[in-house]
Amino acid sequence: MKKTTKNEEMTVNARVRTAVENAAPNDAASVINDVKAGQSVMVETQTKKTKRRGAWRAVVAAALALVLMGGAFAGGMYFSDARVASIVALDVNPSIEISVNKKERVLDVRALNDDAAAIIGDMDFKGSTLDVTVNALVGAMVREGYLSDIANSILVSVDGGGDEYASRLREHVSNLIGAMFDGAVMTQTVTPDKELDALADKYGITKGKARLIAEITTQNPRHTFEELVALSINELNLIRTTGAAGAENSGSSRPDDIVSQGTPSAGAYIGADKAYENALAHAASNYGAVTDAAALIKAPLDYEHGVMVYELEFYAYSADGEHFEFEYDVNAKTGEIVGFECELADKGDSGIYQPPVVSGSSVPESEAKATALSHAGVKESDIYAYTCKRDFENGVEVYEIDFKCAGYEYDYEIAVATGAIVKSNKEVDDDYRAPETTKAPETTAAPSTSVTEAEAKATALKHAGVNESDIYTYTCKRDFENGVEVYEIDFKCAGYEYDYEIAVATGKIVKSNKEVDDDYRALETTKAPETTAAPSTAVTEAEAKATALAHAGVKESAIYAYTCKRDFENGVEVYEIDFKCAGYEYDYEIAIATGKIVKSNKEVDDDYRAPETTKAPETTAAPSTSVTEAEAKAAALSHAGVKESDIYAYTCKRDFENGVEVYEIDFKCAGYEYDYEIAIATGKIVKSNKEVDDDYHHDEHDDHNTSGSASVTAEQAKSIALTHANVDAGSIYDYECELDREHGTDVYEISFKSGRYEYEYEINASTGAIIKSDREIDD
Amino acid sequence: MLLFTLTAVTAQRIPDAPSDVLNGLIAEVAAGNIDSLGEIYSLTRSSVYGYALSIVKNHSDAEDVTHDAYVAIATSALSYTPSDKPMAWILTIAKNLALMTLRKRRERELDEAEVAAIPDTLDILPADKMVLRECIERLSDDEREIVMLHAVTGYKHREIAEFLDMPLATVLSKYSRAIKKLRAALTEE
Repeated sequence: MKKTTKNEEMTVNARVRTAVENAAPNDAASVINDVKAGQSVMVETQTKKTKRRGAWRAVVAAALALVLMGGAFAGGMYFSDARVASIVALDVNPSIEISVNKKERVLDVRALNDDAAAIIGDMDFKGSTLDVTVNALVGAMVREGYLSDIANSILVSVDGGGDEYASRLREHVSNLIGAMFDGAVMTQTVTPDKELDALADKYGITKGKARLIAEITTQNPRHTFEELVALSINELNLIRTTGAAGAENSGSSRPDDIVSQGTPSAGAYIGADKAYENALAHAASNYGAVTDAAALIKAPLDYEHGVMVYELEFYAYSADGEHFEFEYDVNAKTGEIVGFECELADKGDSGIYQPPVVSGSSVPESEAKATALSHAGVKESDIYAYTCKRDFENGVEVYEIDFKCAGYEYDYEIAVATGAIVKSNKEVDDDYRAPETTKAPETTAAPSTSVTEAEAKATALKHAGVNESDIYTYTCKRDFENGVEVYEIDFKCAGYEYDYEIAVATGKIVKSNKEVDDDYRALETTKAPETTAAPSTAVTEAEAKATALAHAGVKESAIYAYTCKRDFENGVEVYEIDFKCAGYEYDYEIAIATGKIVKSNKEVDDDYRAPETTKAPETTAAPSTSVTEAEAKAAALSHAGVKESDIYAYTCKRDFENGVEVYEIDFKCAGYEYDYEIAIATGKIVKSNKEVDDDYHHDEHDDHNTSGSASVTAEQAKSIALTHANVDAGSIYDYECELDREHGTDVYEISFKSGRYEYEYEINASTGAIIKSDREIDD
Repeated sequence: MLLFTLTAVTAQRIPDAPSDVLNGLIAEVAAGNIDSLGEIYSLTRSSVYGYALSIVKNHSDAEDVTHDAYVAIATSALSYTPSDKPMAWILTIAKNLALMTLRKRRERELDEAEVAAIPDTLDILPADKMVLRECIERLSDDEREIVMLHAVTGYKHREIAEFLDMPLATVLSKYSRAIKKLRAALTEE
């Protein structure tokens, strides 16, 4: 029988250990990322104050349980890991595509619109399970309000993986989402369609959303693909299920059919009753309809005139007894009438009936014009290019009045019925050439609170903290910025470019910007302009240096390799101060304006050769709470459970580990290599490692080992065990002997068989004492 | 003797991650300090991966199980009661995930041979690949688990016996057979 020797066994173990260590993944970041993604859902559930709070929490627990089980969905064939097997698209308004491999591991998450990019943020799902990813994304959509009580629809589209696989994945994701909140989930399998894919590409929507829109436009050709693209999934779902499109699937089961669960929420809308009320009121006042006996035919939600509307159809009689059918489109959010028509109900095909408009409440054009001029603050004699036409704007009849005056274009809409200004706009007339006196019309146009260019300039200079005499390349022009008239003031001063926008009406600074002027060449006196530019709190280089030295805890006389330059760091002007001292490199950034330390770094200087007394500078640099090397060594020895007298090959060096200064302590003892990192500041063990010492040879080791911890040989241990077991050396088989470390002591772990029994012994390698003995019947 | 045994019970085990360090880290994770999960990960990833590999027998699944195990550790940390065996708790989580993986594989009727156990593309030394392949090919399931738990996790034989709920003697004999097989395989090449 061949006997496994100690060293051979150690080699095998060490090789297995090394191979596993090298092959094991080392990506804690992705784990942490997944956990955070899961937590964001948790936080959501714990803070959301709705009646479904409990349900949410249960769901997350359920989803996490799925994660614990390693993802619950199974099916299909097994391919290589990096291949995209399916794309699961989530549409709400954010549109997100999740590519997964056959094991439902996420390969990529793609945002198809800005909302989606905001939802995804900096979450990285690569390698996560699909469940974790869906959970986190849907959770984020709830948190950001894309999914809520008033808009609860989500579309899940699965592309690829085969019909059967896709339908199971659809169901799985649908259940997962359905469990998270009380919403309306539509699912579908995406089947190839070049035309739709091209449209999806063109509009930057998912293939799934393209198919949903296509279904609606097929059912209701009045809608075009283009007009529906901008709608959210909830709106599309409403149109699809309650709208004129209203195609409830009845029993057909083509794989690409959309399967819908739950009811889309119309909570964002006023409700059909309120819309009907508004329509009746309008019909009564405009057509003199008698509404008492009116009868509603239907009131579905639909998308018309660029808004969600209730499309009402109802019958009502006129005062003279004619029976009319009315069709109204009522803005579903505001209740505004956006479109209407009526026809004689009994003579359906007799064309559109134009009932006489009820008069009395309308204002003449002249009155509307006067209102507009008064609002614009201009005199009729000053205006030109005047036009006026009547039009309907969102169901309200208006006068559209346009005119120009002194460099501006005015654009008004005034309600015919009330004379109220519905809309007003004033823009710079690009075609206008001022007759020298540019300022006059401005003063006229703007109300009395407007500021002059000179005032705006003064405001800008004051804000910049510079004197007018110091600036150059000054420009000022008036422009409109987001509907606000501003002075755009640019100038340079002492190496900087300043850029201001100051509201003409209020004199307030709308925007200010200060950048380094790349073209600037300082006239030798670099510091002078800086002092001018910076406010009085600016610090000198000497002050910054002193700050850095104080922070580092070193004396100026002790440092060398000192450099200082001025630079911009994230828009803040800083002194970049580098120096070395006693084996360390220091690197500071100190804000010039405030003198505050923006960044500090201290690293071991690799080039440094200590002049014997390495420890002195360390003591200077480290604060009083730091531990000495001796203390760190003691901590390591105590942790390892070994005596100082037993160790050899001891080394200790100071290093930075993840920004923490540590003692790196290595030593060997009784066949093991120990490797410690102990934080200098706290004395805490940051890392500890113990490995089999491959170089260790037991016989040679007595040289190092003064305590003689292995003074008992393996043979002696064997005979101790055999004697104790009372068996003959010739009768045993499967003999194993391993020198191992137990609670700081070397022990022989001995096992063997004899007769019907298996024996196990632990024998103290220093004293030969039997620590443990065990005998069992050998099975 | 009695005194010695008492010391044995209370003394800290060095291998990689002493129990109280792990207990402390798990408590920190439970308290919401997610960075501590990273420390647990660095301390135990080899053990978790090695043990997972011994069950699922291919790198890709073992890698997934390892990832999921730490996610599960984070989410389960709240329900963890500090004990003298945090490593066993961690390994049990990994074990359940690994068994789940096997079940999934059976459901999908996957041929194990279709999956390269240790893919050539894996970025480790050829010698390491050989060691892992020999472990997977030559050892029985029990033997593989025992070798991993001993060589990588640093478990003593009696700890392995306890963890796997096997008689110590069985662990010892399986272990010695496994070491012999591996030694033979690794030296013949």
